[in-house]
Amino acid sequence: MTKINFRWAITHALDEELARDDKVFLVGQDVGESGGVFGLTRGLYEKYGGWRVKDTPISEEGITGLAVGAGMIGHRPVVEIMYMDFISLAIEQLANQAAKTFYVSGGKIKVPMVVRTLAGGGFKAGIHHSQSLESWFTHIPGLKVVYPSTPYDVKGLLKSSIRDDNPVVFIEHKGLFSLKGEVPDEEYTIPLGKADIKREGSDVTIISYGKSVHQSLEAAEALAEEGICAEVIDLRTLVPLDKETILKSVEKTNRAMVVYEATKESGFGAEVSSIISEELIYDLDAPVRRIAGAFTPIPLGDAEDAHFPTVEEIIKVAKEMCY
Amino acid sequence: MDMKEFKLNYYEKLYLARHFEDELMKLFADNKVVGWIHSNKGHEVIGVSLALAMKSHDYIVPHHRDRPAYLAKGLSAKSLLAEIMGKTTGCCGGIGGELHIMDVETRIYGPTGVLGSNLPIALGIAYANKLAGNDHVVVCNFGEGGSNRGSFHEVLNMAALWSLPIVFVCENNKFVEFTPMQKHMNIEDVARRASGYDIEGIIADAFNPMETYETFKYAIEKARRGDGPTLVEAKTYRLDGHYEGDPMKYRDEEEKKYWLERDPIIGFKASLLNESIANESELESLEASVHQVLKEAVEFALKSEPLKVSDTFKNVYA
Repeated sequence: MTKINFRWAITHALDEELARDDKVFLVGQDVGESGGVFGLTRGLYEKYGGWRVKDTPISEEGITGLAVGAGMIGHRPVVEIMYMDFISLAIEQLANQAAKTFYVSGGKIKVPMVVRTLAGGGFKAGIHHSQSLESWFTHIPGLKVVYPSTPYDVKGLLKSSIRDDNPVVFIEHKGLFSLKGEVPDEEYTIPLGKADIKREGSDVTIISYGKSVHQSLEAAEALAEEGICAEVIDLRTLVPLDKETILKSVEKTNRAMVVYEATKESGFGAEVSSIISEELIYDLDAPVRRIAGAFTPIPLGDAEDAHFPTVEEIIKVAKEMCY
Repeated sequence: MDMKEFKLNYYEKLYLARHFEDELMKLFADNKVVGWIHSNKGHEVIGVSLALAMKSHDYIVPHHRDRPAYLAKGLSAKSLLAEIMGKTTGCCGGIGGELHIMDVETRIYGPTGVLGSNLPIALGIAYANKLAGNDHVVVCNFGEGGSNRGSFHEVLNMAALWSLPIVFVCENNKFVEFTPMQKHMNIEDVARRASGYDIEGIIADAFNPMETYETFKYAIEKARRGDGPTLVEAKTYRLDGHYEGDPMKYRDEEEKKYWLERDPIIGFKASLLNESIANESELESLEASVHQVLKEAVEFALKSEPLKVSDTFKNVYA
């Protein structure tokens, strides 16, 4: 095991997959010679050359469609959409083309491709550099959606996503880039569709993903001191969703909350909450709660903090549910 | 292939494309087709010329008026018709329908109901071929209306920048759904847009079979040599409405008359006779064999099984 930060775990995953399979290539704005706006592809251009690590113009739809076409004939392209806020421009290719090709070809043409995109707040950069837009994609049959929270998970899940035969939207929270964690020295992958119980507990289940997992864990630590034993589930993959792990946990705790940074309304927490209500409503000791982003654009500067979930809020709601 | 053989083969493919549409319209009127159909009449010379100028390993990423290219590239009339009728024997098992004809064997990829969205897909196939270092060429078709999409500009820019092996074919049929093109753009010639990307833009008269063929042949071989993309604007005229049943109130009847008189299928046949390339009886027997192919295709498609509802829940994920 070696301790590395989240951003190097991404770089290592890309490097290993580029080395393993010559069908893998990267495209995106500034992914080449400059190594990317956050340095995530640093060194790869020199190692694999300008055709496998391709700098592109500002053409989000064009490069996402490029991946669809290359994927259709057996390549494994990885696109970087620099900020998830820009992914609106790529939705046509993702939702109408990539997601539906296998279906509409009668199961004859696969589209293996990954769109990596940098989401979330923390840089306090305002409306167009801070959003978490996963629920735009969890609504589309045919797409897989991955949102990891640790260096170990991001590396293993990115490698699996590149090897998957379906289009995957892979979301990397910018606020996690300097987070350090243990990563095995040997080769490993993590299957898509498996949640991870990051902390075991018996009183309340906190279901989360991305950066919010760490706030949930911090809240669980504080709650333990007050005698509330919270279980924290990191979904890791939103589609396919590991319902089994969620339901098994809530059957045990009889209380559930969903914590996520995206806008609360019509966000992924609504889906999780509905599944729990549909399956376990008579087992619940309290209504399922959602702690998530405000229904506003994300403001510039420190005001951002007031629009995202906080550890204090998680603690407060958990107490309300348990007492 | 000598010139006689080439021209007879060309005429057979033109005739097949035109009469496939007739059979399709009859089936549509009989309520045997699912969804809509968009007539390809007036586009035959483009599809046939492309298919004859391409090699079997070349890719086509077409738009919705390219059935002539599918047939000429080797997709069987049976498989195509069955697909349009939503039958399991169709090339996509009956789930794709008229707008989503794909076929791995004849290398037809990526047509879409969202016009202009096929351009980035074609770019990707060309990019992958360049990466693989082979000599396969991609042909990408769209209309003059589709050339107003942002995707057109993004893709022409990248294809030019990276000198990709791709030929862009704008099938300018003068109508954007129900609207004459001049209401949507200031330029008359889409080929002029090529200069914005510093690539060659060429106009071909798509009512002139040999001129169109030679133009495509030039652009495809140029791409194959590694000399980059070309934008070919094939000027045609949509002889029917946007879709079957369109009353076409927007059309000038004099204009239609002008184009109908120049119908390339009639003209090409006349040239074969005038230049003594073939005689009446040779052409009659060729036409009869096409009608036989179509008759068998119609029978095949009619008796094929429709896609089961239960099968429409499959293949969401690979």
